[in-house]
Amino acid sequence: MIVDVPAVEQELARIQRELTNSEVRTSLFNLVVFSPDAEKTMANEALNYLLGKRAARVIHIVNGAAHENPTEESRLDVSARCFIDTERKSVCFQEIVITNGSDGAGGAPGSWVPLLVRDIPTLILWQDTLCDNQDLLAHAQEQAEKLLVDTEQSVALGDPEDAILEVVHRIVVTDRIPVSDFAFKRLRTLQRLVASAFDDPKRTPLLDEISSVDLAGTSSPAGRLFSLWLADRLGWTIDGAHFRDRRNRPVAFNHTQVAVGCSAEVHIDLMTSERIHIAMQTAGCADVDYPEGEESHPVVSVPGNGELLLEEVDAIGSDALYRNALRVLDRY
Amino acid sequence: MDTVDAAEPLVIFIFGVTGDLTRKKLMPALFSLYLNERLSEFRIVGFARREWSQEHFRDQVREMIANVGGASEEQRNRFVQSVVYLQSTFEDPAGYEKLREHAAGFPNRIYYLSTPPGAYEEVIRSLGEHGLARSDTGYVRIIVEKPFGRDLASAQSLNSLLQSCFDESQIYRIDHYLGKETVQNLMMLRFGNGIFEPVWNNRYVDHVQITVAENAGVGTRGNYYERAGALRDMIQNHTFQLLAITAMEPPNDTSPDSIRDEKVKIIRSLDPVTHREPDRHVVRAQYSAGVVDGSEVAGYLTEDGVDPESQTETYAALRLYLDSWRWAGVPFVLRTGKRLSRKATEISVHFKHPPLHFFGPAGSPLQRNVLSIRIQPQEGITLNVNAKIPGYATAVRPVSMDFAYGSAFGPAVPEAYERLLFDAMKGDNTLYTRNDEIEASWSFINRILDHWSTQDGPLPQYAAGSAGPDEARGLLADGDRRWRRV
Repeated sequence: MIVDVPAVEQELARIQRELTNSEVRTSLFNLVVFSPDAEKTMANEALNYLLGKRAARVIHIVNGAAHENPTEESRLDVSARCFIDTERKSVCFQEIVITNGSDGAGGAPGSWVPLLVRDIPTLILWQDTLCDNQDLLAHAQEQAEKLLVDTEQSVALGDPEDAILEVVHRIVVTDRIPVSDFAFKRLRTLQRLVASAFDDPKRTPLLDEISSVDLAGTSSPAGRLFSLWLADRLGWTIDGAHFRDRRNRPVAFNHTQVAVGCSAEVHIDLMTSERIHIAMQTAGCADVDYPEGEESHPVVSVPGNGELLLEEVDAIGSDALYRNALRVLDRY
Repeated sequence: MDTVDAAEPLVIFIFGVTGDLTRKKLMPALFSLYLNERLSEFRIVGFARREWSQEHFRDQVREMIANVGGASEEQRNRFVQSVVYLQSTFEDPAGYEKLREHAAGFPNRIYYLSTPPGAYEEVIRSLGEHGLARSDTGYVRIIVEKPFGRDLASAQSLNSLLQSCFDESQIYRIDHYLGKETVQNLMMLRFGNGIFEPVWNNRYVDHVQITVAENAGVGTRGNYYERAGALRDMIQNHTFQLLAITAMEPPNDTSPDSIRDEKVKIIRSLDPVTHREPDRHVVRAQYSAGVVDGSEVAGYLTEDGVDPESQTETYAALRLYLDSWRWAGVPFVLRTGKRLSRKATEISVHFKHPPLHFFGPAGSPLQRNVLSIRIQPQEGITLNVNAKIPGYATAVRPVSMDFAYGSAFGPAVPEAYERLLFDAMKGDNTLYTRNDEIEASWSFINRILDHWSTQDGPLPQYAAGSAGPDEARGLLADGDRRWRRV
């Protein structure tokens, strides 16, 4: 495969001209997607949501072709999708798909970095395993203003659960690369719900009286991230499989992935043997039951992958909550 | 009626005319000057060892100018008829007598040294000994290509030799980066606008990055590169010149010496890297096999003409500080390398964050404002600012304000050599480096070279097509500073 940058640029311009007669909005960012498969990835769903909202250059590096067909060489395809916005201007995705073949050339930075538009942010959307692709990942993060990962998906693709947090910890804490983890972002509604349960000044002191937390639902990586987020916010330290609070008292954290008829359910047990119960579905009204018998039913909505991606491409900075949660791994 | 500012009648002698520089740069630049009516009465004499006939040389010149567009066949023929080949070794006195004959009838002369550096001494001495360094009828100037020495001692020696035969005003030490339009525009940007100079200092600038990245390898120049390396080949000359123009104080006027006086002050104000600390401030590495533009390429140690145990660096990065009121405490990080992910030369000025962080998520500062000056390719200037995303929420994203030479101005930007050659014909040496600039830069570089000469063992490696070695990250590891993408 030879990457002829001027030829690719000309082809993209030609396709855009064919697609639209109106003025084309300037690309706001480069989005480089690494995935094992061109189709079966949440990136497509998320990108479809983004289409027409933000103009971008999308470089999709399909990494799994070599496994399926060991003789296949890397190759490059160019296309574009345009959407006319309300001001009659075209918002386009300039799409370049590089299939990384058995020669490995397609995934190397020397193949895709020259295709990035200069002087606009570059985001890497990593939809592949994190642990098995450390070299590719290292080169990719070198080029990125921000790395978007999804530890839930990486584990589903085969990453060992215990190793994946070490990898993201290294990237976020040691290498200080801005990272957003979709698995963590999807927890946001639950986090807000849990935090709001203690908003009432009379309940805020109970935060120091938690003896155990049971989380049911969510994936295993998300459960682990949720526990680290709690630990960070409440100043807990890690003690084996559980935590210790600020007063060095043990705090149990249990996670089960069983389907419970809603997206997540949290039981927070207090030292006083009282319990706060929070149940949440992906959309609709949540249920929060307090020890004194009170209850509330706030309206919640878990953002989809497309909404999350839109937020991420607009906010280039690092996710401080995520970084701080991972730093708990350093607190023994 | 407009008049064309043409050069006076002259003869140009190119020593080492059979080399790549003449083929790729000098002859196309001279032809372009001819087409633009900057050259009217002229002769170009190619001086080299190879036994080429006059016809063969002219055929070669025709090929060299084939890609210069906008010329009629008649113009090409006329230009080719103006070139002459002078076959001689650089040592042979007869060659210099023939040179005198070729100069007859032209009041002015320019000598262009495009030979391997080992031949400089012989040519300069011979020109002096044969009385060819002076003329009663017009000017005599000598243009010296890089490398200008390979350390401080050799640069001083070359300067002494040159000055024993020529006056400093006759000597033009070329650094073609200074001929690039965007480099010249940097001075215009700084001193021709009111908004930049007030923030061009350590109160507002966090750090400055200067990158000279190539995606090409050493190619057929392995033998030369083995004796040079990235520090000598790129940092000491091009990159330091970019640094000087970026950081210099406003000159009193635009005369060559006023500008060069300010540039040399910058080089002299570099905080020296002492023998204890080069490894903290300097990173060197070599490229290993990798992928460039989609194709696999060899590592440096297996390139033709390269010692398999070579310690020559193909990548160098430096963190420098200037001991000046304006720049105290501001890191200037410079990097250059071969076989990086793409060809890009740029200066980027990274401004400090606002004192209070109002916008964006807590603990996550907005992107810094960055002014980047692209020298090649796609010459232009971009200012990154943070802007509110339209809507009900206060969401912020970085956007860029872009100025591209190619789309902003109609006529093609002159090639650097074209501009520099014309300047030499007009006697303007503003964009050429002075002896004290060269010696000051070697004086700084020498300490690093001396330190490296005491080091053994293989150099760190970086994959061809990558952003460079991991070790370079440490030079910027402070807060949210990061190298810009190559």
